Amino acid sequence: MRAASLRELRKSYGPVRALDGLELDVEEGEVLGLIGPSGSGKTSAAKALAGLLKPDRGEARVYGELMPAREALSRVGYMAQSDALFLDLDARANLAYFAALQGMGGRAASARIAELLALMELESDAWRPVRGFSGGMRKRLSLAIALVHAPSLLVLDEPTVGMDPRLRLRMWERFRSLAEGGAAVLVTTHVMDEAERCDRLALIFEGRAIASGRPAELRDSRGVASLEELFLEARP
Amino acid sequence: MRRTFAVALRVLDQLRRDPRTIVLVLAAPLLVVFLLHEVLESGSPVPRIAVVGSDRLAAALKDRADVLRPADAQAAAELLERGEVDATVELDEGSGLLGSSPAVSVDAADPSASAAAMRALREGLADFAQSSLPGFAKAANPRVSYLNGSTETTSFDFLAPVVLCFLVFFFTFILAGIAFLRERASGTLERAFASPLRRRELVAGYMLGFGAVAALQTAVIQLFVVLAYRAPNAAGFLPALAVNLSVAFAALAMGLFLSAFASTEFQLLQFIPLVVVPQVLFAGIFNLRSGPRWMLALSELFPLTYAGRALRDLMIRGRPLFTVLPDIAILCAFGAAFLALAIWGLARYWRG
Repeated sequence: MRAASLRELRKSYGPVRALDGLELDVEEGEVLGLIGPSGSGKTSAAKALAGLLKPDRGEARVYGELMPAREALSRVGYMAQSDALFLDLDARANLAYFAALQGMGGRAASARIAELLALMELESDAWRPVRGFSGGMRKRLSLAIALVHAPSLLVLDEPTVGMDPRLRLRMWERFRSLAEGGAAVLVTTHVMDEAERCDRLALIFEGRAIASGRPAELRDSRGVASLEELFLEARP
Repeated sequence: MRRTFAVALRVLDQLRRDPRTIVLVLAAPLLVVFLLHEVLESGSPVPRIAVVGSDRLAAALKDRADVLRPADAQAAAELLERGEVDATVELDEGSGLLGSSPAVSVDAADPSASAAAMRALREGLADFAQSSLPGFAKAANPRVSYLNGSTETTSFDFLAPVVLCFLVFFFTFILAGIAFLRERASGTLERAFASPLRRRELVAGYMLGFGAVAALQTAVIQLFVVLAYRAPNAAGFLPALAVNLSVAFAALAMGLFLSAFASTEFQLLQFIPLVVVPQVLFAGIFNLRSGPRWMLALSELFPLTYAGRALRDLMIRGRPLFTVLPDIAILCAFGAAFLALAIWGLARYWRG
């Protein structure tokens, strides 16, 4: 089933055209990677799926609902590039707050928070204010918040920046297992070995998806040996 | 409702773990009150007056000023020139009491010093005239009775109500405005927008959380002003608290609203000359009764005008609470209007 779709999406910020008729589908059970140069519109596409961008034209739908729909938002887990954490609060309080915004509370929320803290290897730091966290720890906490309400569509904007290779590997294992559980996972990335791990890639250039397919298909159809080359030669 | 409480509790949790802000919120207003009290109660300066001629005038002035006795008018003028006295007075008793009028010179550079000198001279001359011609100068010493206070009513007493509501307004405004702004800058607001949270739930949560802090702050400032400095509080503690809480409500809503139009803390501070300073000028520290019509009209636009008026009625004049209910209602209306504007202003960031 289709988790989300972007149709003919256009958005300008003043003279800057961020999205120029972007078309994109995200299917349940897949990890979809968005690749493309900086400023190509990956973040805007992610924001549109999280209900954070009001398009000038076109539409964004999540589970058939036109965004921003409150019902659909509770099925989306969004992680922005910036960490978006309350630095004065400890890790647990950060998680508890966003869980409450999703309508979770009581024992169910506590259990879920404990589970995620364990998953992100943050258990021993759960009571420390986030201000003292390293970049990688903040990233993990931020990801845990995106997962707290067990969303079925994950929209992750460069989720592994600043993580060490071992954690990065663990995160990708996690994305994979979420997708196998039926979730749709959309990840924007600049890291080509991460792109290789995606089920499907969409190459974004100047606000449009100029190519999409499995990593191997993309390489073959564009006649390049590596995704790196594909990225470097990106043009319509 | 759960989301509103979640926002309120989180706001309080953040404050609790930020000792510097707690100190700012509670201690800074008290420091301002303390300084203001010390400055206003330091008393008017004792004037220094050079008296030439009449010994009896010099005696009459003794209790009211530091009296210097230069040899002649020339020496007195030099003292005045050098700034060693605030005024000189010359009266020749020899030529008969009614024969010459006293010649007074005043250094007008410092209005408070020259006013004090003039007052001492007026009173001294009246005493002098009465002792010289009993009965003649009775008219110069009217019997005075006081309504709403007494001779003991000081500048601090008069200003205390206005200062009280100003401090409540200012610190609540800053606190809420900056917290909201910080939330936007950190990206946590955007993240909240990516959840099913409604705009009004968010604003309500902020009002609830900061409302609790503002209520505490208000009570502390008011207790301090009234207990530590024995400012008049004729109508009692609770009626004045009711006014101050409605001031805090309006300030909170204004802070939330204006923070939507600032992108940095510095920009929020730039609203202060626009929003806060005019209120101080117009809210009753200065008497605008004889000001031009536009000034009076303008003062009606500021919440502190109503707050200052209501608090003076309660604290100094001792009127009952119901007489200031219209003012409280206007303050709450300001609050409600800015609350609606704050929710509207958030649309700039809400799923935009």
